Amino acid sequence: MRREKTVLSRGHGFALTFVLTLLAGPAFGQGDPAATGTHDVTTEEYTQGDTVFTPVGFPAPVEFTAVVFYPTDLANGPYPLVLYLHGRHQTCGTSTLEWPCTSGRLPILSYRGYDYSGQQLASQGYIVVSVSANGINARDNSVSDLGAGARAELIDRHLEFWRTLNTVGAAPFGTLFVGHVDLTRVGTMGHSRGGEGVMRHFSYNAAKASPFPLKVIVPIAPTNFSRWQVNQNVAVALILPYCDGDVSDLQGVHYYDDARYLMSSGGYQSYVTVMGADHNFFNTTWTPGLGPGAADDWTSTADPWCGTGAGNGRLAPADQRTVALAYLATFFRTGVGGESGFFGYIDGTAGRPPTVQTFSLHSAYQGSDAQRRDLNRLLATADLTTNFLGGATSQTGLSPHDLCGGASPQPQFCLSGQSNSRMPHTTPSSLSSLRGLSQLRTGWSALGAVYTNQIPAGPSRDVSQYDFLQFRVSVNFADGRNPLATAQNFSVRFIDGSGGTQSLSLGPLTDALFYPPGAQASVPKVLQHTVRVPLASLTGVNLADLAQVDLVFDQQASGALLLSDLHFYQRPGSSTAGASYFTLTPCRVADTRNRVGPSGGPALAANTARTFPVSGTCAVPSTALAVAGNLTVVNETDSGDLRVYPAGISPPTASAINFVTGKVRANNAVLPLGSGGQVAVQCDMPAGSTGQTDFVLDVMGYFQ
Amino acid sequence: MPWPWQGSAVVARTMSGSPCPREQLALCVALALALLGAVGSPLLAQGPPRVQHLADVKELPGTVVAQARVDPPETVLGIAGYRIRHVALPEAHRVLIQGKAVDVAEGWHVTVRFARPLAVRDQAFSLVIDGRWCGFLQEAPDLRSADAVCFDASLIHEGAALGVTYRSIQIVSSAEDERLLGPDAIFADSDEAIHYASWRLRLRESR
Repeated sequence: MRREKTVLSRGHGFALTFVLTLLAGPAFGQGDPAATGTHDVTTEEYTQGDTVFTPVGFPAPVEFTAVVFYPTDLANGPYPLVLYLHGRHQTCGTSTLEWPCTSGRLPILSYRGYDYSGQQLASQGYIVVSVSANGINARDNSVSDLGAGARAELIDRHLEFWRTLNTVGAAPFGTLFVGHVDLTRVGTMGHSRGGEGVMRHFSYNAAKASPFPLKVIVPIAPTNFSRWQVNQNVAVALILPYCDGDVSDLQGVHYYDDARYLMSSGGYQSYVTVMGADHNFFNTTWTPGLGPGAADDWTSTADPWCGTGAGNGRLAPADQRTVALAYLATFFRTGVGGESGFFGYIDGTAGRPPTVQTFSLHSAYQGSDAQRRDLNRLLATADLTTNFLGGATSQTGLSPHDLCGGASPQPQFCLSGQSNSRMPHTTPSSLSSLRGLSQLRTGWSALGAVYTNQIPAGPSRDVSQYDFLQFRVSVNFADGRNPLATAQNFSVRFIDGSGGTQSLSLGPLTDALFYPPGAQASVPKVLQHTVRVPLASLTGVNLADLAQVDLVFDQQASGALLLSDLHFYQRPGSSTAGASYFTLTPCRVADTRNRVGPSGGPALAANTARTFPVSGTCAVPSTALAVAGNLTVVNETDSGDLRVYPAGISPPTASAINFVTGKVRANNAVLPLGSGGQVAVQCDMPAGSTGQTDFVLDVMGYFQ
Repeated sequence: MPWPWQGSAVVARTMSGSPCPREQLALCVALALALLGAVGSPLLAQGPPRVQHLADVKELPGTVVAQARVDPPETVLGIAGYRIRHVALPEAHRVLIQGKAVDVAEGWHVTVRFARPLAVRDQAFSLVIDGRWCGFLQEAPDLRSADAVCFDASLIHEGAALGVTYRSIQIVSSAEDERLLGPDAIFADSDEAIHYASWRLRLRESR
């Protein structure tokens, strides 16, 4: 049953539109992140007017307006906060770029274009705020950073407003939200210039005395004029529309490329390429028939893939939103909500969310340093002879075989005679002199060519803890050796220190070797996606002594590729793969309420980490890889979360348990053990907090 | 970011709000120098038009040096005409021209008119003369024209090719972009016709 009503004017100078929507959706679907949740959802708008503040350096004042979707049962919170920021679009009437609107024209509600996602996430227990930025859109080509700084300031103002709403309350909501907003878990999504805005906001926020703890940032089809970098324990998950007719060079992929080796303390970089999507249809207000003056930004109608003719690869607007719905839910429920069940949709190891199985999507993922052992980063000329592990690198039968796209002296572009928009990884950036992605440009003209990376004797050869060999690759459509419109294929050969050898053909394992479709304007594109070779399938090779990895071009007679980022990847929490489970009589291995000691007090202090011994206690053997247990937090003096992870590595992005002041919370978990058979616990509380919490860990079994 | 018109607040944000990225060091230096110049300028305190933002330059009085009506409109974007005003700045400002910090005392306010309303796009909208970037174009409210301020005097000459583009152009590097060689170099790529258009300048009078 669905009910809506509108209430106007909620005092204190605020105009307020109140829309109450009761959703009686289906039961929570564990496997489908986009399933409607169990919470009824209330939708309200708030505004302080159209000319409320002038962002620093901006030539005119802008509005303070947003719509918020929140679980109606606020008392069952607090709920995490997610903020959306739309991109650049006409602002008034049907085709006017002014602010505030004049001559009786009505504002175009770009910020309402993501209602479909706000409603869904709120039903899952999130407060979603979508912010209006028409005032910035109307003048941002007049400022030197094209509005990125103004957008960051706008985001911050809204987040600060929500900090006030959560602490003492404010008009027009009064005390409605006090204590019900979990500001230890915040995520942002920005579309187009809004995408650059949320990336710019990361550094703006980090410089604050009391920054908001951003967990995940989701840019959709973003601009990237200035090459803002987001790394260090923050996840960045991009959505890239292949048929983008606006930001047609997909310059947002630089965000991934620039930060992929700068994640020493956690986080990840990922993108999903939506093959039939355009720039505008993620926003309903920008979709023809749904918003004033809206249009399809892809204008080369005859293109065989991105054109609008029957039988091509374009997605209908509703299908495009289905993709956004699935991935926004995946990113925020994982990164902000701390749910672990959907992570495989992000790193690609679990394929795609159920609702988008039939669409043409490709993904890329790079984990933090703790999740990888790099074999060859392919960044500099020396990497053509010696890889990251110090082993020899060589090739036979490959031509060309060089690096392109990266820092000088590499050639700036990998393809000659192609427009920038067909080469997203190397497209120039307006406001940065940074070059693009360093890529291995290689090709073969006869079967049997080989690219070899040896691993020197020593601990580097033990890759048994890793789940996959990974790299990114794209088919070089500009090289005629690739059969037209045919997916490429080749093999990966593994050789261990005793000569054990096993080869795997990639064809059945990946969709990343597709021939990029399209023939007009900005398509086809060379856009790299991740190939994953599961190491568990290597039964004839000793993974504790892996000596060599070869890419063997033995499946197609000729071809040409661009490659990057050859590495081994360990999924988070994957250390129990292949292990057996042994039950234990439930036993308490840690309780900080007890007297001070390795397994006892003191309580966990805000924003600190400590380790607890697990092996050797409660009959957990020293050979245990992980334990199954129950986490409990009690006596919390501030809100926050705990991240629990193997001792000796960097903390992960996702939390194991979230809590609020003074409420006992518990959660089940499988906890991989780290060095010395210990687990580490990071207590996250708001910046500057002096709070603490007690922590209890009970175990019921272990894996070995 | 070749114009420093953002004033002191922007510089403060650059210094304290976020680290100045190494690749934008020249830009940050230029902004800082511009701030010092503005703070120390007696002219700004004595009443001439105050120039805080690039938009302020567009409001300065000037002299029309080139103007043309294009009938029928040219190119896929429908360029219907242009006007170039020479503008004297109330004081010298440091700007970036082709990636290098340069003190300038004049600029050219370029307005391009279009036969039909522009689509509002997220991609940067650039004014290009002789294949070189010389300003971001701000669309007018009715989307029938767009204007920019160009500070590169070498680009304003008889017969120069004036164009507009949504293509990404690197403007902060002094290194030559291999795709920006020669007056019409970037207009030769027919695959991206929607992204640019061109017309030849005819100056009304020599500067």
